[in-house]
Amino acid sequence: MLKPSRKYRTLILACLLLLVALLLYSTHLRKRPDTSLFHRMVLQLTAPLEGSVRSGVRYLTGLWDGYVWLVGTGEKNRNLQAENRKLQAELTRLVEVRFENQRLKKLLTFREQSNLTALPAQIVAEDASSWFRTQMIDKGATDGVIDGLPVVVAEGVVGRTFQVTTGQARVLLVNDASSAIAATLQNSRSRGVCRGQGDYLLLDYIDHEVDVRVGELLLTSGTGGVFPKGLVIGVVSEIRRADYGLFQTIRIRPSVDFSRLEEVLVLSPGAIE
Amino acid sequence: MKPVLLLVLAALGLILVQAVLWPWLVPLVVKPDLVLLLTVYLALTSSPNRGAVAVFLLGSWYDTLAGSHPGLHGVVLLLVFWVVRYFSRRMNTESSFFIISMSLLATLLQALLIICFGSFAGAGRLWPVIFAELPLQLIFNFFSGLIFLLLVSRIGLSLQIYVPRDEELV
Repeated sequence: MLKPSRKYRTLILACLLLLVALLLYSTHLRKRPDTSLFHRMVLQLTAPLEGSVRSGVRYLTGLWDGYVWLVGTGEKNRNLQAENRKLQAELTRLVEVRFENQRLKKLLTFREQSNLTALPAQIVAEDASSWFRTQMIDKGATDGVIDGLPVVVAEGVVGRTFQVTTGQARVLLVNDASSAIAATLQNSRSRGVCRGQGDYLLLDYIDHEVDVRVGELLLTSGTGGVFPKGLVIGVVSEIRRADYGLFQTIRIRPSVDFSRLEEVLVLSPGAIE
Repeated sequence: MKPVLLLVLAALGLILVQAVLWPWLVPLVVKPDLVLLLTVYLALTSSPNRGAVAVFLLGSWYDTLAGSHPGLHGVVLLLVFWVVRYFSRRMNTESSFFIISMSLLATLLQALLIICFGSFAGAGRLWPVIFAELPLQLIFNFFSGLIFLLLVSRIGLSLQIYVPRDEELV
């Protein structure tokens, strides 16, 4: 027969453990902010182990997340990058379309305001040489373009057509050395001939006594037979009056930026008349 | 037939680069004169008769896309061709950089000839435009000459200076 102490040993041990647990718990509840010695010891002893386990788990999780779980992610990334590039290109195209739309709207407004019959054209090439200023447009004889038609944009005069082929024509820009336009100063109404000089224009035959101011507009006079009256050529940027001589030297800054030309209007013969 | 086709393709490519590609890439009016470089190359390496005909046709073609005076480049490039040929027979042509020095000489000569013949065509005051842009033109032509040399050596084209036969030495 077993002794009672031995018979209930397991039960007693269980109760003792339960008691210790409850005591520890009650002590912990009472002294919540403090960490007991036991806990400190346990924490200190288990901390390195926990650290190792945590590192191991992290490593394994990383391995899973980074490699096993992401088997298709590389491909997905490439697809997203390709899509991103496509969207970027589309965005660039749309920005370009917006700018084109703005330019065309400006041209359209100009055409409506001026009541001129005009044919829109696009610049397709520039002069192959550095010394001359011509450009090629995508409209030719089949579109009704003939030699000597004025070419304009909303900002002012661009030039006149020459060397017309069936589908294309060349435009002699007003700043080419061969170009000469009959012009009128807006305020003084003096008439002269405006000649191209590369980056700028020169206005010839303006009387020495005429009062010309910097910033004054220069317009087409309509007497040359090519350009209709009143189109803007440029702005007076410099005036030189010598002590002697009949005429003054007037430098004109063109109103059109020829390096940024993309769309132009070719004025039809009806508009000139 | 093959060299003619090659020449036509080269001229077409160079003119397109000058008239379409360069203005699209670089917002400058001055551009390297690759057609002039081709003229120099022909002057150095081809026979006088074939070369002269080719250069004249090249100049006439160039006129359709450059300037507003048909025939001007035909004459100017032909004269450049003959002057370069004249110098090439009287100078040390062994250095490959000879073609670059000749392209610079050709640039200066072309500018002078365009001023001269342009005035005949009523081209107005062309000289201020040309003088203002000549320094940059010389720089561009110098570098395009260098690139041309590299390309020629890569492609394996001949840079052998043409030696005339006795009956051609007139």
